[in-house]
Amino acid sequence: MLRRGALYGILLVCVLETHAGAQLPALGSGQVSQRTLANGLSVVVKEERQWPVVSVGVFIRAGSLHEAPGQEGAAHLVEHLLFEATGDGGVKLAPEIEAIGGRVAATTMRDFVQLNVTVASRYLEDVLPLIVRAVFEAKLDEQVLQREIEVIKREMADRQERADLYLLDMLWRLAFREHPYGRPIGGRPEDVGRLSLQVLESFRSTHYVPGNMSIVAVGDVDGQWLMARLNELTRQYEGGTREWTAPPVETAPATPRVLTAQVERDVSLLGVAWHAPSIAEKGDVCAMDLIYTLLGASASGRLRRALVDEKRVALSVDTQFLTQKEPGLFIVTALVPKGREQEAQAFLLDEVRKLTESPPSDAELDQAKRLLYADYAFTNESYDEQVGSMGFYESIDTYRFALDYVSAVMAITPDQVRETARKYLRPDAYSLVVLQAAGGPGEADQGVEL
Amino acid sequence: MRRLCAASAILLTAMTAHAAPPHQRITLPNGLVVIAVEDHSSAVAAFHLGVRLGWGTPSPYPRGLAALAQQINQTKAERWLAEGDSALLHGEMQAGAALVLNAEPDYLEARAQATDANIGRALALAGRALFGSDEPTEPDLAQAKATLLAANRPSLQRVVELTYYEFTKALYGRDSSLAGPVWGSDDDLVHVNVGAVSDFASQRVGPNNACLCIVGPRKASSLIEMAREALGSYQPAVQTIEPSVQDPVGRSKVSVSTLAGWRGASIIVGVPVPGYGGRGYLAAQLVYMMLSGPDGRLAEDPRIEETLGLNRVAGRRQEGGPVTLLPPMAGPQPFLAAHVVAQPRQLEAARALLLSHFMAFTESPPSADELARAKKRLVNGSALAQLGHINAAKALNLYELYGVGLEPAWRVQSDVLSLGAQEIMAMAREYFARHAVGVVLPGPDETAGADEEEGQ
Repeated sequence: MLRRGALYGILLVCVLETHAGAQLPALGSGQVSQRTLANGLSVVVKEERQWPVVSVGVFIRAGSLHEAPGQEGAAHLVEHLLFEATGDGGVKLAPEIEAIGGRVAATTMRDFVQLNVTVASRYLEDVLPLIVRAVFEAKLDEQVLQREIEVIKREMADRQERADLYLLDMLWRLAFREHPYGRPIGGRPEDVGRLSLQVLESFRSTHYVPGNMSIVAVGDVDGQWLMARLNELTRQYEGGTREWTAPPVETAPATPRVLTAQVERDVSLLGVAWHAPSIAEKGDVCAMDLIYTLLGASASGRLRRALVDEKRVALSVDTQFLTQKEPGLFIVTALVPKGREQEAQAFLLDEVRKLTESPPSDAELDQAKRLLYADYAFTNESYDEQVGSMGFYESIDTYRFALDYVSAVMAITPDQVRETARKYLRPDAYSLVVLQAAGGPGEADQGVEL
Repeated sequence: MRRLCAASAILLTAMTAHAAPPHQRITLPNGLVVIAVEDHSSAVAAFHLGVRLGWGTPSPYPRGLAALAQQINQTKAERWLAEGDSALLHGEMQAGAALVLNAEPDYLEARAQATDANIGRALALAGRALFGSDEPTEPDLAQAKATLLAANRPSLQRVVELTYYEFTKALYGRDSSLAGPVWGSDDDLVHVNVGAVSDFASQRVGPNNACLCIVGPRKASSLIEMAREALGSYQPAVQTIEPSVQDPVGRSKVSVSTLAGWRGASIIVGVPVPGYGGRGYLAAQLVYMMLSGPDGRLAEDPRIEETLGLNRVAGRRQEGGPVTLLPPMAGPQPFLAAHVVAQPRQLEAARALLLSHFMAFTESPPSADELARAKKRLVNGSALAQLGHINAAKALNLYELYGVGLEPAWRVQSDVLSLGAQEIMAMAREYFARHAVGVVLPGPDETAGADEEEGQ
């Protein structure tokens, strides 16, 4: 999944009219303001007064990336506990919000944890203290901990049952042998089972500090009021400096890494991953998003045409690229009839290679830009979705990128697409996982141990 | 024509604490009412186009014709998507744009979302499908019939739907257009021909019986101009259908049918509620809020386990227990109902238990605390329902479709918050006595239901 943004400007108008037709800003034209409070908490507000609704997201840079040895799985477990934790007056955040008809959700990513609440704007003042207390003060309870560990283990078991998710986990593990990105976001069952309240409190006290958080709000709210209210509610919490150093970047493999496993399925699954740009390389990120679109993000994508429609070596093809704080992965997956795995792999790599050799035509790139723009517009239509986008980028870089993204994408040229493909999608620098339908002919296990 | 539109535009302003978004409402010369709402919060635009004519609207045509016509319209619109200029919209559908044509009980609808650049194309397609003169083809009609006939086959998977049909027969009367299968009987469908579909469209489906709400990132005047260009040239239908909200009539009834292979007793108990859009309707929604949810009256009722022996597993309890509540929905004769599956020997106990929850509101007012919580839920629920332009467009357009006017739409929150416990009890006393019950029991085959009047 991608997070993208747009800002409309005079320069952008010229670019769009040349390449893909005039387009409105995907995140609308509402006023956006940002302020960093004295304790380090960053507050971003986009005022939209059309409807009496407001969405507020708390983003904490405390994802699986930030787990130290012995803390694997802590980020996800703390998120679960906050959802159910009891703050002042015995009020549980999630049940309380849901009981009054609001919407609450929490997500753990590699780079951050997100807690999102959407309510009628007249109740924002009531729920803000609940949110703040849940994040900073909620008591982690042993009984709830044991219950949530079981919940998470069940989630993991369900994930194992799904071959497509299992394939992705295998790809990340194969591509990142040292870096925390190689671990499942929620940790492994044995990791989670070892986690104690003390470990979780330690993780939380290190990372759940105002200087390590952002609060993003979109909707029917006065930005100045919200900033003042958050200042009042959070000033007792110290900013702190988190004791965390980013792990060393793990470079792409020099030669292909391959893992083949047998699975009890009628069809095989193929996954190929290349190391991809981080948010620090914004030009490459934009070009990579266009590559993702050109290759596979639609029925007319090159991989679908080649592997599914023309060669008939795959039943479906999908591409994935998530922009992250650190270099992540560009992933292609395919559902392949039993026995066609090697052909599918060869055609897949060949299609990717073509992109490294010659740039796409202007027409093809324009079509990809239109599709990317529309996709971004639809995934940022509502207030909660816009909170998600701005908070996502604020957590790994700056919320501004959510606003500037489309203009940056529209400025990408065909040659930049080719150069980015050459830089990242190198012929031998990939990791390959084949989940082979049991009993089918095909490759021998090349024996990469995970 | 442009001057005429501008002159007849009514600029509405905020009447409540929260200002309504900038909007205009006009009537085009062909009778189409257009509500244009500015929303610059994103690049997405959406519309809801409704025609006051559905499968439940009384008409001389075979039952199910409205649904059949919309099925054909959807097929036609999908075909046109690949043509010429519409291909740009078609391409965008891979990313989230959508155009859906559908038949509801008393209105036909076309709803769409697209980026601002393509919403005009979607509107043009919707207009052509609903108001255009493209004749349906025999293959399109045959395909639509096959789809609806397949949906009509009784099965164990559809037992809730069959119970709902029995309930509507009990509530509205066996001969009501709102009762029974939404697409009519197999006999109705089989005998429809192309001529009947064309006649239905020309006689009744026209801009004079329709209203459009469009929400998008443009000035309201620009949105109206877009609507005028896309829909302004279509001629009015021969017949004019006035908007209406009907209050229910009749006495309490029970309707029962059987289904081969079914082993339980599927029962829906419900009560009529006041017409859409008014304070009474909001009072009924508050009753729903007090009954539903993890801390609602139904979830808290121990009799569900003790009397009916229904198992409340943890997950189901979070959703409010084994009883599924059907909230009041926009419709010509709205109702509030509850569905449960019980052992056949517990049928009467289930009926009495569900009914007792509705009747409790006629006997004593809710506590201040319970009411305050229900109000919060309703205010939040109605606010969140406006997230997404397509939802907002439909919510606003329903007020126009039912002839209520837009004013109550902007007042929902203040109206909800001003409702008192006595007003809720008065509403319940006026409406809830005329309850209805629909049942599906085990049987050798599905049989025609039998009505029986029920004493109070």
